[in-house]
Amino acid sequence: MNQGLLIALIIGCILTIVFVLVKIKNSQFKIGDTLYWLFFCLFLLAMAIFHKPFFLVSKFFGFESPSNFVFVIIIFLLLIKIFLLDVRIAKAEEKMTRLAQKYAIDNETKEINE
Amino acid sequence: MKVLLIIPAYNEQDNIERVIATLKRDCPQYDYLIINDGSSDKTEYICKTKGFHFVSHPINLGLAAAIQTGMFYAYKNGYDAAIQFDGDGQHDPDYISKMASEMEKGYNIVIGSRFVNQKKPMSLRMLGSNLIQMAIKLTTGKTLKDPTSGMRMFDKKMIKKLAFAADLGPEPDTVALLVRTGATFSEIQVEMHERTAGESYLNFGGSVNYMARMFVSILILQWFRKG
Repeated sequence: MNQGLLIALIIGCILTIVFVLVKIKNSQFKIGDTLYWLFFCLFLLAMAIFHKPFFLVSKFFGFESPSNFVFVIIIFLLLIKIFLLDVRIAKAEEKMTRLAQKYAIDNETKEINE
Repeated sequence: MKVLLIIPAYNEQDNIERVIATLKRDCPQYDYLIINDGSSDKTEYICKTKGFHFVSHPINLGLAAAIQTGMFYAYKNGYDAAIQFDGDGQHDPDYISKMASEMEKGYNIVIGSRFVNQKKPMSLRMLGSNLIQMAIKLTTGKTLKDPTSGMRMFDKKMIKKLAFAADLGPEPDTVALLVRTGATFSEIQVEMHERTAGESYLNFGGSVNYMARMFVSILILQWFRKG
C-alpha cells in the first residue's frame, strides 16, 4: 500500500472520530449507533498503523495490492451497515403505519343520517 | 351476514359523494367505512359535512395500509366479511350481495372477476394479468382467472390475518399466499366500470415495477413467508 493512501486513511479516521464525538456532544446520535462508527474508524486506523501483518494477510488471500483488500473490507462493512439501516427503516415505517391506523380508528367519525 | 365495505379514498373529492350515494341506494343493508388516506384535497371535508362514516389517516400511508385499517376496524367490530370497494367508482355495488351469498357457501375469499365466463381482451394489461395467473397456477396449483381484480371479499379468518400481518397488501401475491396456506376461494362474474374521474396510479414505469414485484413475490419470496 502506498504512503499516500496510508496517510489519507489515518487522517480520514481521525476526522470521522472527531465528527462522531461532536455529534455525541450535541446529542444528535444515539450512543449505540456511534459504536459502529467508532469501531469502524479504529479498525481502519489499526490497518494503517499495523500494516505489516495486514500485508501478509492480504498476500495470503491473493490480493494484487493491499489497497484492494482495504477497499473490499470497507465495502463489506458498509454493505452490512446499509442492510441494517434498511431493516431499521422497514421497522420504523411499520410502526408509523400502525400508529397512524390506531389514531385513525380511535378518531372514527360515525355516520349521521339527516 | 355482517359485511363491511372498505372504501379507501385518497384525493377522491370528485368521486366520493357519488360512490356513497350509489352505495346507499343499491345496498343500504351493508355498513361501509371510508378510509381517508391523508388526502390533501377536500375528501375529508366532504365526508364530514355529508355525515359519512369515515376514519382519517393523519398522513398518507398508501392503499395497502388503508385497506389494512379497514380490516382492523372490521376485526374489532366483529364483521363476518369485509370487501374492498374502490372509491373511484370502478366497482358496482350490485355484485356485493351476490358475493356475500357466495361467501355463505363457506369460501374464505370471494373475488369479483371480470373473466369467469368472458374472455380476456388482448392488451398489454391483460398480458400482465395472464402472466400473474400463470405464476399463481405454478405455486398454488389453482387457477385464478382475474388475479388483479381489486374486488375481493374476505371472511372472518382472513380479516384477522390481514389486520395483523405486515405486508399483506391488496395485491395478487397476497391472494396467492393465502390460497397456498389453505384459504379457499371462489370467483363470480362481475362488470367493472372505467374510472370516471381521477387517474390510475399505474403508469408504464409503475407497471413494470408492479410486474417485477408480483413475480418475485409470488414465485420466490412466497416460500419464505408465513401465511
